[in-house]
Amino acid sequence: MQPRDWNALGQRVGGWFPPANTFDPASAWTLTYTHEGLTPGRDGWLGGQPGGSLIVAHTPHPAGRHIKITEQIDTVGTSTTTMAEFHCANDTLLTPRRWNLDIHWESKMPLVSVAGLDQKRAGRVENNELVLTAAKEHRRRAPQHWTASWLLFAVLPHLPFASETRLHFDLLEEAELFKPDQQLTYIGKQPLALGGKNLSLHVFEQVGRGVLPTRWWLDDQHRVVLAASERHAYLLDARAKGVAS
Amino acid sequence: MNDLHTNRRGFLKTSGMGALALMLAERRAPAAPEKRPPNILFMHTDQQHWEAMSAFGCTHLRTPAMDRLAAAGTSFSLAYSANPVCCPARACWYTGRASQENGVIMNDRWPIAPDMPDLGQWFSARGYDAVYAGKWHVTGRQFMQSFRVLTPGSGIGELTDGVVARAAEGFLRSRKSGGKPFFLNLGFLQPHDCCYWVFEHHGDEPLTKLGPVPVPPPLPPNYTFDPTEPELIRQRRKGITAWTADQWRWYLWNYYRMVEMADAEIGRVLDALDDAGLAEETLVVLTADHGDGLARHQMVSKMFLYDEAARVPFIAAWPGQLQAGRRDERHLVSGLDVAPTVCDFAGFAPPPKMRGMSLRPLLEGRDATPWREFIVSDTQGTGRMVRTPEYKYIAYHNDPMTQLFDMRADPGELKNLATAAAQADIVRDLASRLDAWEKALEILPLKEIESPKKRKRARQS
Repeated sequence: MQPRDWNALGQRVGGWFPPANTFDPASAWTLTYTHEGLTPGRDGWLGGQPGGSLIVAHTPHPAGRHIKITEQIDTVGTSTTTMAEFHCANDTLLTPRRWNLDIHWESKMPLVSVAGLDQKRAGRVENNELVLTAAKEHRRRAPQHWTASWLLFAVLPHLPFASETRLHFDLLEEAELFKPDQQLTYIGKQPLALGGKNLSLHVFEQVGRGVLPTRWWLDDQHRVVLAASERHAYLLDARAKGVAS
Repeated sequence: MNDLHTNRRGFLKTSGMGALALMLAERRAPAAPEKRPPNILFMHTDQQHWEAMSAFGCTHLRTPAMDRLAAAGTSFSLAYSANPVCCPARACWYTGRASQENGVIMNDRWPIAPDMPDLGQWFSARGYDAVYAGKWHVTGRQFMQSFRVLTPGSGIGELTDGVVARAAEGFLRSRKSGGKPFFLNLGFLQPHDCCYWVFEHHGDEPLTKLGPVPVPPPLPPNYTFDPTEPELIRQRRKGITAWTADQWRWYLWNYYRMVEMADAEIGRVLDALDDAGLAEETLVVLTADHGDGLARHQMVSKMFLYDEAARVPFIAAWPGQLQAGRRDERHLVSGLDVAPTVCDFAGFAPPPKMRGMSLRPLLEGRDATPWREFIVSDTQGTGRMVRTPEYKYIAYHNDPMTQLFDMRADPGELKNLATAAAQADIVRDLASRLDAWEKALEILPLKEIESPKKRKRARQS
């Protein structure tokens, strides 16, 4: 469960440094993460190189929160960018009320053809139902407690660092894939060596159906620094413009 | 006729893997199809244990998408990988020929016979839009030579299975019902990421502690093994012999999550197929290249012939055209059957010298169709096996020891009957079938290429 295969990240992690600016979870902020594969490269496959990026922009509103996501996932032959906007309730899980997604593809190899793959999605909560719209509308009963996977980057900064902190909820991964029975638990402050620096970070652990156990590492200001599961991590990019603005 | 007393002539007549299959395949077709042929959606997971699906009674995971497919079609309980290792299993699907014939006998170092056609080439040449997304892993041939590629994926399922499914979604949602038929092939990686879990926990290193998580699954009933097993099998346990029961249970728990991840992506694809109005004109086939040890016999991974590695899930569905919600527990099915089956549905002859059989008669409910009495699976890493409905016989490479299991009385393969005097006739018969099968193959002179790992090491030094 620890991100043990740091060798896979090579020099990138060696050059990493923690952000020094202040962070207020309740304010407007933007955080940028890099996608990191936690497996050594093999036979030309993607290894511990950056596999893209995730930008989370959080804006508070009197009636709730507005969260914008821009995620780019790079593979050997393609790059997929998803831009999502969520209008969320002002509750613990930032429960989405309505959202839309734009998915854009780019080819990085001459013989890889992505024409026609771009898509749009939308969703809303209506009469206790999730209404997911692609070419057709799909309806399903809204779970009692749920959120979207990207929103956890904004949910976690609001949770207390206390041993009794435990959330149970269902997850809509990428605002589309239903992953029930998630449990998020505060397990204490733990050391983490990162970029040649010995950090002490607060850790939440997430387990549930359809996801690999994930550890969320937050600094004292409640900012998510690292979210690492078995083979994949989001690492805060402290060099990105407006790391916490 | 008792299949255990089939002579060589009988073998060729009834196995369906020899000359008869070839003759039938070449006699049928290529009459013009009466109606538009179906689209083919061929999806495969990587390293999925045959029972790892809630539709098949596994209570340790939930797989609503695979269950949905099983409810819409026929699932074969006795389906086996032709060669339970990644590259060879895939080469067998795509060529319809045994590993010794197509050249891909192991991972990475043995390339596919350059002139042997694969399904991508075969379908493209016959008017299909042959499209690929995800893991390919057939040594010696780039999939761009055979398919139109949407995305090649990567070596980490956790990172890119979603990309593969999204690409398939985009492709399907942009298709029009009744358009040019497609052969869409999706190679998902999960639950193969379990291999990394194993690497990470190799040796005596204690298990990384998890926090407060749900109770992991119990150990399987056949979590033990025969200490007289051949050395080749015992070597497969290297690095994991010190695992505690807890460690095994965490392995199982993680593994099931990886299957659920693959399931969610498959659900995304099935939804897109439905939304695009293509479900009723598309044959969907779902299988896996091989299984996983999954703590049975205290094994992980593949490259051996116990059921946990060699047996695979296999589902085929075509709403409105084929039987729905059926579990076939009688017919033996091989990965070699994929090519003749999809070609049969597409309405053209398969490439020559298929070693498998079309499953179409079974899927259409014609159960009286003469069927094979045994299948063969082999892996260069350990040995070869013959499976009949009753027995499994395993002969190992460079080891005189053999194994015989009564698969009905001992499905966990714990009691080796190979040396029991009462079973001598059965052993002899199965050994002769294996011999006949191997003699009927057109063995390709093997050409080994330098492994990428070796090349990398050489560069680094």
